Formats: sequence, C-alpha cells, structure tokens
Amino acid sequence: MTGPLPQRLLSAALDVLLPGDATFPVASTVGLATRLLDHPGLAEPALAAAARLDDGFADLDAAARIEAMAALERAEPTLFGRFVVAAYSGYYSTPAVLEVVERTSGYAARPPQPEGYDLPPFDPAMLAVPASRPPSYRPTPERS
Amino acid sequence: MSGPQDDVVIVGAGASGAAAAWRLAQAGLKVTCLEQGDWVSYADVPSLRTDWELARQTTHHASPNIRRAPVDYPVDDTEAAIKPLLYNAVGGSTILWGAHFPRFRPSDFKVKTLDGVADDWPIAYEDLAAYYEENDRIVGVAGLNGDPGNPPREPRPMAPISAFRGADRVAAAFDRLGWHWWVSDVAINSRPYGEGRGACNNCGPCDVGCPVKARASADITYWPLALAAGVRLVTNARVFEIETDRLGRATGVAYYDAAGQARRHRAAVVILAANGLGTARLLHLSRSARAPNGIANSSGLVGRNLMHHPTGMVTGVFDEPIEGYKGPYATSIKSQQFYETDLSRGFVRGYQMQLVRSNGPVGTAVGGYQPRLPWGAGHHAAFRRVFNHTASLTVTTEDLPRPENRVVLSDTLKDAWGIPAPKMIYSLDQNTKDMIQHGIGSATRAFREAGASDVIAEDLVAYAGFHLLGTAKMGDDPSTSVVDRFCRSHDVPNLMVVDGSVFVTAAALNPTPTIQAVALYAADALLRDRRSVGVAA
Repeated sequence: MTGPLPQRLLSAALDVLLPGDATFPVASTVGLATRLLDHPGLAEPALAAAARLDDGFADLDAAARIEAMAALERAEPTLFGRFVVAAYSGYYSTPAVLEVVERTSGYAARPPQPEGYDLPPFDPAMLAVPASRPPSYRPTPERS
Repeated sequence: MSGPQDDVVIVGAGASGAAAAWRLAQAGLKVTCLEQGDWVSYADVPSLRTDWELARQTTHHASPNIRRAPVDYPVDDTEAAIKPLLYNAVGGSTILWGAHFPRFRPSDFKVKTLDGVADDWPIAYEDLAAYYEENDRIVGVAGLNGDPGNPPREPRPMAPISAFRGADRVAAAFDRLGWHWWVSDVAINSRPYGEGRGACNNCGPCDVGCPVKARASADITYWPLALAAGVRLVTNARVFEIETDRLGRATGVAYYDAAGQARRHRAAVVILAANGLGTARLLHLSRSARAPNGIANSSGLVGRNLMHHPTGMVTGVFDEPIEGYKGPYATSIKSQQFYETDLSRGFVRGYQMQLVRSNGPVGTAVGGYQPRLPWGAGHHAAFRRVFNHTASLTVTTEDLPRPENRVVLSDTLKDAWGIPAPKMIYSLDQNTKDMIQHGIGSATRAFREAGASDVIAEDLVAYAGFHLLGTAKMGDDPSTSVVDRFCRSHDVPNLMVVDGSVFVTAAALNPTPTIQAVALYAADALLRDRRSVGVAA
C-alpha cells in the first residue's frame, strides 16, 4: 500500500490528527505522509492504520473523517496509538515544524549536541532546610 | 564446537558483567566475557542529529520489541502490565539509562524483620557499603553528602549536577510542606572525571548518546579498566546454553558467533550477568536429564519473583517557561518522605518521588513524561500549553516479590537464531496500586504547592521495565532461593549469577549501584573461594 491512492488516504488521516492552526502547519503541508512512508520505523504503523480505514475516507467531509478516526481508535486502540506516535514523531522532527517550535517557545531547533545548554551550577544553599533535619532512615536492625 | 579454557566466562557485558570481569581479571584470573551486542559508537549518536527524537522512538527505543535491532531478542510481553526495556551492547542497558545512582537504604535489605513482608536479604547494607564506595569512584558519581534520609558515606567524587527552574520550585514546595528531599545522586560528570570523559553540557537526552561521555555507562567506565586488566571480550556472541558435565557441574557455555556458527567456550566458572530477563531465559534454556526444568532450578524459583519498579507519573504544568529540556532529562532532586513503612497510609513499604525534567517536542507530543497529547483540533493548543512548561515527579514504588510474576520461555516467539524468547508474566498487587495512588496524591500536592496551574497524573507508566529483578533469588535456604549469599547456585557450585536477578527485594530505588556493588562483592567471594570451584590460586 504505497501507491497514490493509499498515500492520499494516509495524508487525509494525518491531517485529521494534526490539522494545524494559526501557528502550526497542517500535516500535509509538511509532507508528513511521505516522511512516514520513507521511514522504516514509521511506515508500518502508518500503513497498518490506513489499511483499516475505508477507501473513501479521503472523500468524506471533515466531521465524518474525525468520526472514522475516533471509531478506529475505539476499535483498535493499540494500533491507533502506534499510528499517533508515528505521526507525532514524524511531524515534530520535521524542520519546518521545529522552526515553528523555536519561534514560539525559544527551544533551539538544533541537535542537543555538541552545543548543549548553559545552566548555573547547583547551589548547595538550596539544601539548607532538609540538611537541618534529623536522620529519617531506619538502620539495619541487628546492628542498631 | 571448540574453544579455549578459561578460569571464568561471563555472559553479558553490562553493568554487572563489566564490574565482575574487571575485578576478577585484576586479581589475575583468565576471564572471557561474551556479549550479545556490540560496541556503540560515540561518533554518530542521535544526539548529534536534528532527528534525535525520531531515533528515540524507533532505532534507539528502549524496548527491544519496538527497536527490533539485529542484536536484540524479542520479549513476549502480552501478559505483562509493565513492558521490558533493555539494551544489548557492551555496556548493556546503561547505554540508554538516565543514570540515577541511589543506594538502597539499610531497611531495604531487611523487610521481613522490619515490616513482616517478603524476605530479608542474607546480606546487609554494611556488607555492601565498601563496594558501593568503590563503585562510586569507578563510575563517577555527582551528589552531595548530608542527606538525612540515608546513612553517612564518603564524599561523592563530584559536586551535584545543575538544577533547573522546576527543581527550584518543587524544592521550595517540599520545604514548605516539611518533606524530605535531597539532590539526586547521579552517574553523570559535573566536571571532567575519568579517562576521556568530560563534564555534562546539559544537552538533555542522556539516552540517545552522550558524545561528551559525561553520562557514565559501563562501556566507558569499567570496560577500559577490564580490557587493560586482560579480559577478553567477545561481541556478537549469543549464548544459548550453559553446558554441564555428568556430575552436573558447569563446563562452559555454548553460543552463536556473529556468523551464526555455534561455538563452545569452556571455563571453570560460569557467571551470568544478562539481567533478570536474559539470565532467567538462559537458565530455562539449559535443560538436561539432570535438570529438566532448567539448570540451577531445584527450588523451582528460576524466573519467579520478577520485580520491577512500578511507576506512576505526575506532571505539573506551569504558566511560565520551565526550560526542562535543559539538563539531564531524568535527574535533578528526589523526595523520600514516604519511603519507609507507615501502616497508617494503608500499605506496607513505600515509594520515592524523583523530579524529572522534560522532553523535546516529539517526547512532549507522544507522552514521554506527561500523557500523550490529544489528536485533532485541540492538539496544537495542548502542545503549546505543556511544551517547555512542565516538570514531572515519578512515583517509584517498591515491588514486593510474588512468585506468580515470572519469566518463562515463550511458546510462540523466537529470536533471529531460533532461540525461544523470554515471556514476562507480570501484574501489580493491591499494595502496589495503593502506593501509587498515595504517591500521585503526594506529588499532586507538591506541584500545587509549587504553583503549578494544572497537574496531570498517569496511574502506571507501561514502558518502565528497565529494572528487571528477582528471578534468581539470593538466600541461605536452597529450597527457597536459587543462589547463595555469595551469588553461587545452590545446585551448581561453579555457576554464579551477579546481576539484578539475585535481588531478594527491589527497594523503591534505581538498582544499578546495588547491582554493581553485589557484582564486586560476589567477585571477591569467588576470589576468596576460588580453589573450591577449580580455579587455581
């Protein structure tokens, strides 16, 4: 199931999951269906979920698509959950989406390494209150 | 099949196998370690790539059933409420871990005496104390002395790692509530420590590769020392049987090499260090006319008493940015306010709360700490609400041993070489469920006190099965335990288990420091008694 018709169905399903809004793009505008189908770890759950939808899914109106997806989630929650994880994983690792995340949150859309982040050293003064407490552990009984 | 003769062959190159191998080789024994996986490369780890979170969900997922790497074996988890997480490589599951490094408390070893449940360990905290200290120095531990919740000890090798905004808020809340808390002990460098290991640069996801080598793992701590001491390490070696002679003594192991060729490795002593899942599997696989239910299993307890650390998760959502993606994702501070038994709470034993930071965009959406975000029209608003605005408290409970929780061989699943996969059968009892609910209440109260505008709770994290314990229990009575107090099989005197399988109880704490301390302790016992098992003095 990798021809144009299934891909159109999958794309429609992904747009139901990730419809976009004034800030974030809808899934199809970042090519999410193609991204999933091209990734060995994401294609299988995507195709499996799409295969459970009717061939005419992409031609349904918006409300009917949502209901069809909700019905699939109720009927096969594990499969649907894997599909959602694949969709989110592909979407939020797409450079175009990461750019939005960076612009709206300050999170750096770059790899964690090698740059890392600056944080102040731990301040031991934080521990003043708990350090003043008496021991709260129970010692080994035969040696107490 | 043919192979050399060694003093010791160790199965598994993870936290315990590495520690035991180093100790024994340093004392002059001829040691070979067989590891199912291979070395991991630090040159191309996912943390260096923009798609690191995609790798975390696929190729570097902690579940072998999702990762499905060629070196993995599948695990039948169809009857397990908690799913197994492990890694097959030199370094074992420390390759993926969050590096929490707490010691067990003295009471954790004596729960029968103190609380009337389960069994006491045949050893005490004091028997392991010196090994904990030595292990801390080799691994490299960051923390601070003075914790009133734990016995005094030598100073940690390093000062604590950096806190974060969420820790500032929650620590102050703990103080206002009058609850115990302390900075977590972690196996993460807060300054350069160890050969070629730098200081943590707070990149966040310790589980997808630390090219700085600040986060400890057995491949960069013990293994360089073990190899220098002369250990021979064979990777891509898939052990499928412990071999015995006509007297029932272990003679070595049989394994498939990287090319799929069956080989035999003979040794005077066989040591299993393949975790509570892999070790039980191998003992079950090693059946003979003498041992029809698997080797070392006259007690019938091999595979039984499987323990995890059942975990509830509570997330506080703050109005202001928390920047929890900065700093080691799984570690900061802990509270052991509800650790020791207080029957007025409605359960026996207790739990720890660990404050964890937060995830990147994918981890936030799929539910790394807080539950998975909804799909559809409300998704993007939900993402904006929680991303960069959360911290989470794990509610990590003690998991008392029950024989019905067990590891058996799967009737349906096999690995790539046709070896039966292990099957986990595991459920939670009411005591554990009650502990989790109490912990969720405590964590919710803490977050409210800390100023969180919303609190989200998850009763049980399914993908929390990193700690695989108890399946070859230690004890003095051969009818109620698998190995003795020195980790030697009651049935087969030259067969040892040095991983978490030997745990009598699980405590409510991350087990790796105790696993490694036990491995060092057991190795010293073998060195002391080596003549009795055919190892030349």
